[in-house]
Amino acid sequence: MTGNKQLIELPHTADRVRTGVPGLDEILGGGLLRHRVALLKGGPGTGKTTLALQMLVNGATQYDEPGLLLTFEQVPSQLFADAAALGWDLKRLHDENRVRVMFIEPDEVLDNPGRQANRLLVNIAELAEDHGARRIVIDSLSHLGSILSKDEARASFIKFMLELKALGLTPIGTAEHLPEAGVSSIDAYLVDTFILLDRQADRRTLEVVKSRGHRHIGGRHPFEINGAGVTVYPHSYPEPADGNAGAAPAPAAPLSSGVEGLDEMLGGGYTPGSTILLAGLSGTFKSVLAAHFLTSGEKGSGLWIGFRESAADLARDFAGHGLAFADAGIEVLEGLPGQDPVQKILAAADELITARGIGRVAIDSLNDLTTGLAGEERAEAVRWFLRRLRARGVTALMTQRLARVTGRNPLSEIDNAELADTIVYLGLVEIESRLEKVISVLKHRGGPAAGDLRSIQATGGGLVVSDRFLGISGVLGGVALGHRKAQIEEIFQPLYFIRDFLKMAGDPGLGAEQRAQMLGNMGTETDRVIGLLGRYFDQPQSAGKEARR
Amino acid sequence: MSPRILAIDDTEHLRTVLRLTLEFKGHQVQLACDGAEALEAARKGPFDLIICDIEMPKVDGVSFVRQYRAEFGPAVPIIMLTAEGDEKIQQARAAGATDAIAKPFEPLHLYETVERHLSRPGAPE
Repeated sequence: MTGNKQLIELPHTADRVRTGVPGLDEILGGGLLRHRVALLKGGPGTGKTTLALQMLVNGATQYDEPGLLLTFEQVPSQLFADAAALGWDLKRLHDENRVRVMFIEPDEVLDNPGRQANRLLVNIAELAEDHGARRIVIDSLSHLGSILSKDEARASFIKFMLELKALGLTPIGTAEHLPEAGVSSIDAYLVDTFILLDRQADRRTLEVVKSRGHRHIGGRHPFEINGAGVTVYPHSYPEPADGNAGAAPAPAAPLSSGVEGLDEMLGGGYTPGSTILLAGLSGTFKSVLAAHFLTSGEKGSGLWIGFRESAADLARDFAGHGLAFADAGIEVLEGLPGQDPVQKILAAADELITARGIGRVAIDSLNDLTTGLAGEERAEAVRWFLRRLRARGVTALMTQRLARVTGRNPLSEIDNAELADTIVYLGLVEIESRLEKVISVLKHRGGPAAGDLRSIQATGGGLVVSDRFLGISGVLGGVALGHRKAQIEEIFQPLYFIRDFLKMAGDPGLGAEQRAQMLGNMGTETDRVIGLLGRYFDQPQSAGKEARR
Repeated sequence: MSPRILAIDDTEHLRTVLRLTLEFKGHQVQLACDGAEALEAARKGPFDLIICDIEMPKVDGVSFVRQYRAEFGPAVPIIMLTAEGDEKIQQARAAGATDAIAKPFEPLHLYETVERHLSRPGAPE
């Protein structure tokens, strides 16, 4: 037997009290349980009162459920002013008896606790009956505790709540969260739904610690308080209803990356509906490559999720690469790294994708999108978003800044590699004392990948992926050893010619004229080799001429 | 009559070396810069053997072989030149190439290969 729990029968078809707070009902699996006690607990300034008030205002304005507000902390005039700042006309709701505010001065209750509680219940009962109230917010339960019997704190709290439930009310209480205070009489054991609010600098989160009798989405969900009150961004979402999540994309013609050479490396292009990660060092054209893809799609089919630049700046930058970003009808969603919760950005993107029929999405960058998120939370948010995109057949491209790649297996150094179907690596290598930008396809599900390393260059007319490098090792570590394919050929071809012609020159059957012609050709080829070596090793060409003099 | 050879490469220097190498053995050499130019040349005159680079702009070596075979049949041996790996050589063979030589090529090896294919049964004298 586990005490109280046995006495509480879980409703099968739970009647829910919808909070109307964006994102919260989703987390609560539909809302609070009717006639059950909910507790909003958090430190000062975490938004407890705002959240509770919002549930009350929404009840009155959206769900035709009048409410009562029992406040010990704020005088009504102050409360009305605070509510007005959030766009709620609490004064009018109060006057219209849709949200009745009951203010109790702390001094008042200190006098005679036991009797105060009873008088309070009588008042509540009257108001509830007169105005058909369905919800009651108690701000705060700590203050309420001071008017309950001290000897039987737990019992009197339970009794008080039972009375409220008997009046047809769903009690929503607030309480200060004092981690050092430990378990109090109004803690999670006595309530049915327990929501913990937290605030670290500008980042607010809430967590459903307990929700007796109904399922909820666990973990900390970011939320913000803006001009319209609280908006919660669930960090995890139900699977898409079409059950298509994670399904392999149907075979379809590859989509051009917008860069011919890269398409060749990808065996045609990106796989439609897949996720592509463009990972690389800073300044290696990751964003430009992403813009190539968006601008090569149908007009109005692209969405750019960026953090560093405005739409105008992007258009200007990409115009410098010959890309008509401004004319491609690309939606630009700007986020503030580390300030906008990732869930908020992704939810906004999700909405745009559905509303506008977006087929191509670029996230620039994954680093900015997930700033300030811990590993699992980050992976979960991104995974959810990618599943949604996949279910809608959207092709997603994410850029990822790498600090540097040090090892022989760059895949192991790229975060979120498992999320992507295709990984394109962009790097810088030193070849022949020059810094070259290089591109390689490290992974390509659903199509052949060349797996080789090519140079990538910016021209006024877009990126160009050209020469293949041959015989190079250590490139992914940033220091390449070796030569370009063309350079190998340039030096060795004349040497082979000279060597074989020297062998033939020894043939006694060779005519004098033919031999002279042959020696002349070998001289030309030798000069060619000297010229090439002089250029590669920065030797003055005259050295050869002097030697021959 | 000396054999007529069509040599195709997009690099000027390599075309020169091919010409010098083959002419030294008394072959008649015609040069082309890419597959498109080579097809034009092939239409104008018959050749006894073709040497063709694989990596070229416009019409590359593999496409050239495919188009040449479709138009002129399997009679004339085509030797590919390539710095690419086996994969490209396999593609070229599948398209109808007869043999392949690695780049940079060694003139003595080229002679040997060319002579071998020219002296095949049925090959022109």
